[in-house]
Amino acid sequence: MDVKQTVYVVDDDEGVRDGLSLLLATVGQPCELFASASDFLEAYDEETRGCLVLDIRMPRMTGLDLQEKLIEMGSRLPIIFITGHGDIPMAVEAMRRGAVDFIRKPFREHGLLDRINEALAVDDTVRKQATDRKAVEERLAVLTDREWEVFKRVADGEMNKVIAADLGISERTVEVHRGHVMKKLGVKTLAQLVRIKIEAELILAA
Amino acid sequence: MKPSQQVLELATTVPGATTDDLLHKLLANLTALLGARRAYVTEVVDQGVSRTVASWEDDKRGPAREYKINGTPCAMVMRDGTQVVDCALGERYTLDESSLGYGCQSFVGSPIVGHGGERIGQLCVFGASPLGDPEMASALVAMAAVRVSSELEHRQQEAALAQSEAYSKAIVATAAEGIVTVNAKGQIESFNRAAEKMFGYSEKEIVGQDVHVLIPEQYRNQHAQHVTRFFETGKASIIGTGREVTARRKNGSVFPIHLAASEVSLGGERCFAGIIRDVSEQKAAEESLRATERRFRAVFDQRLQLVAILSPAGIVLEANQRSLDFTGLQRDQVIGREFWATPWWTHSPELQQRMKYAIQAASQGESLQFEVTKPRKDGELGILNLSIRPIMDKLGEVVFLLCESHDITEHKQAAEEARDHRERMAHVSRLSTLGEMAAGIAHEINQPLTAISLFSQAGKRLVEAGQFDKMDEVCFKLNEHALRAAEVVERMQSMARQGENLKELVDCNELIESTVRLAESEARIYDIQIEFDRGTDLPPILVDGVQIQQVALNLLRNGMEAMIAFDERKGCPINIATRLNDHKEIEVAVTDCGGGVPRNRMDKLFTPFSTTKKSGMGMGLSISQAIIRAHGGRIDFCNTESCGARFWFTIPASEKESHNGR
Repeated sequence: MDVKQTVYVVDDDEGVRDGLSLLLATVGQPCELFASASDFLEAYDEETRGCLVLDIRMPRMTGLDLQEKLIEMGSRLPIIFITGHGDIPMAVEAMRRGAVDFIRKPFREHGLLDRINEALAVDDTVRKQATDRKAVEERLAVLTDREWEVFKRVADGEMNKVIAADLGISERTVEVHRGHVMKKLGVKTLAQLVRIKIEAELILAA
Repeated sequence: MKPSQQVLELATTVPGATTDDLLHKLLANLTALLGARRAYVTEVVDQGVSRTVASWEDDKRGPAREYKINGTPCAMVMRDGTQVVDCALGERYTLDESSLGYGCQSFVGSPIVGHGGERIGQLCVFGASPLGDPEMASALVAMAAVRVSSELEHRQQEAALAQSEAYSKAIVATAAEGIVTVNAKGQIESFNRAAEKMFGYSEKEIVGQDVHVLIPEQYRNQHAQHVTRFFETGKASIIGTGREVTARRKNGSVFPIHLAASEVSLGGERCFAGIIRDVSEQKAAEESLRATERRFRAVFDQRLQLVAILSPAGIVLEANQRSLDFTGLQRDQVIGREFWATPWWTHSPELQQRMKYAIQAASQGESLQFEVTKPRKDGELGILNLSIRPIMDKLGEVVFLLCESHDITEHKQAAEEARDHRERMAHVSRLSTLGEMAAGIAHEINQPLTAISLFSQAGKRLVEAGQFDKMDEVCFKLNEHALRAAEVVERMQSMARQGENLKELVDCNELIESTVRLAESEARIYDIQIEFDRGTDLPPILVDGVQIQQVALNLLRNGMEAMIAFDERKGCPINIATRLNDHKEIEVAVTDCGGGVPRNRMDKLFTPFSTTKKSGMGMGLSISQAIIRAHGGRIDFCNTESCGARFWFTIPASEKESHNGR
């Protein structure tokens, strides 16, 4: 990882923020502290990387409120919820909405740091996938709709004749589209074409 | 007439119709016998002054005269007894025209002696010529004087008797008592005016009638028997003593009289006098007095109050039955003793001392009231409310002390039970509240615990890495958060505490501050802010702090719950304010914005078990009310204009402290 990821801590309790920042400092983990959800939202942008350690109970805007807001904004920042006694129903809701995990106060040392590392890893993966996906999407985006249809069917091993019949076009036209696809995607063989499709499907499915 | 005959006549002069006639006849005989010109009977009026009682001058009655005897032969008679001047009277005495012997030659005088031997006057005879036989004259005059003396004495006795009779008659007539005399035959002989009034008979119509008309029929036989027995045995059941009997008026009505009878013998005839007093009024007064006495007795001996009457010095003069029965005492154990030394108080020397002081104060005119313990018959100590009150006469002098007390043991016990009950309910309610607040409290404790856990983990790593420079701060923080957790626990513990009925002087703001802290644990969960407006210059209050906190907490939580249920509350805080109101009471008011109390709920708000909430017992407000009332305060509510409710309670400021000016 070229850029060190940051742990964003949002908790209304100063003691908890203090303790977390000191603990993270001892393991060399940079962190930023916020006393409220709105403070964090002000600082947040799409480039924010790392993970969010978020108190589920806070005045004004709760942890769940903030999660909802981030989802709306298309953020994929992994969230670890801090929950207390009796917050399980809220934690379940948070997980359903895609939170990485929740940890109950008070924290066990390894529990907390492990979860944070996992979350950071998830962030990494998500970011990498996002990059790959972007490349694939950009690559596939050069194809016209008709070329996209032909590409999927060719990669699935369908005969030109069948494709032509299904699409209601001539076999010759299918061949022209296929030539354009190979050229646009920069592949020479059918095998290469098949691999691109499988990779794309994997990434896009993630 | 021969002189001897004259002397005889003189000696035998019989009384005439009146003394006056007798005296003049005597004087006439005497002058004739002695051949004298004038004769007088005189009596001493004053020192040196006499007057004539009878006078005979020149063979006829003379005028009455009053004269000075000094320098006259009469003075000699008064001094030395019988005197004779046989001739030349005018030469021996200076006699002017006013003198009895003016122009006379001879004088014979002899004193008239009174009952006791004293000389009360004299008999004197003046002759125009010298006396032929002075000795004879002297003897005759002396004899006549003796005769006059006896006549005058008799006259005096008669006059005295007449006067005495007149007095008796007057007394009998005007006596307040009725006086009736009855002869031996039982006939009424006299009947005085008072008797007339009493019986309604006039003396005229009653005299001669049988005394039985004055006696009611049913007693007549009895009377007859008494009279008979008296005559036979001389034993009187009524004579000489008085007794109360019943008498009968002319109109037939009967009335009580006091009759004193006496036996009188008049001329050998037995006769009875009865002195009668109408005692109906006296009887009525006595009866009324007895009734009053009975009434007072009834009041005195009633079953509720313990009453004792003490002298101003504290000696027990009287004690009612109830007061004796209460402790199971006999009269002689208290009557005549010093109040504080009676078995009522000997169980407590302290109480005895106090009683002594109280009696001293009461004897100075002070009224006192206090609570005491007194042993009961069963050996237990009863609790009584005792008052000592001075009773004063018209001059304001304390004449005795009235000590009353009544048993308030049961009342006290009931009050204590009620208080215990209230305490228990309050405690249960507090526990229940804490249960409801468990989530908030757990959160509140978890925060510092989490911080502690984080700091200790960091500390461990710092130690492992050999970085000791930050350890100072870590330890400081650890301590800080541990204390913070302890505070929460302490607040909770004090709420969970069983009531100790301890009232302490506390600062209201401090009390409310700590309540706000407790409520904040929940407020944070519900995302409600609590505002606290502290009143300034509040006097301290004497309260059971936990209970007052409980009430404030209850009001805060109710307000918050209303606000949660009421959707439009967002961003609106709940307010709690303290102040000193116009009645010098501390007022604590909680104002929410939870929509207010619905009209149909207002009446039942303080009724137990009436709740609109899903959780909770519905006891909060009714217990709060009981707590506040027990502290002498009030609790009430109203809806505010800004769509909320305001609940407030008051607690009287502690007088003790306000005197000290704190």
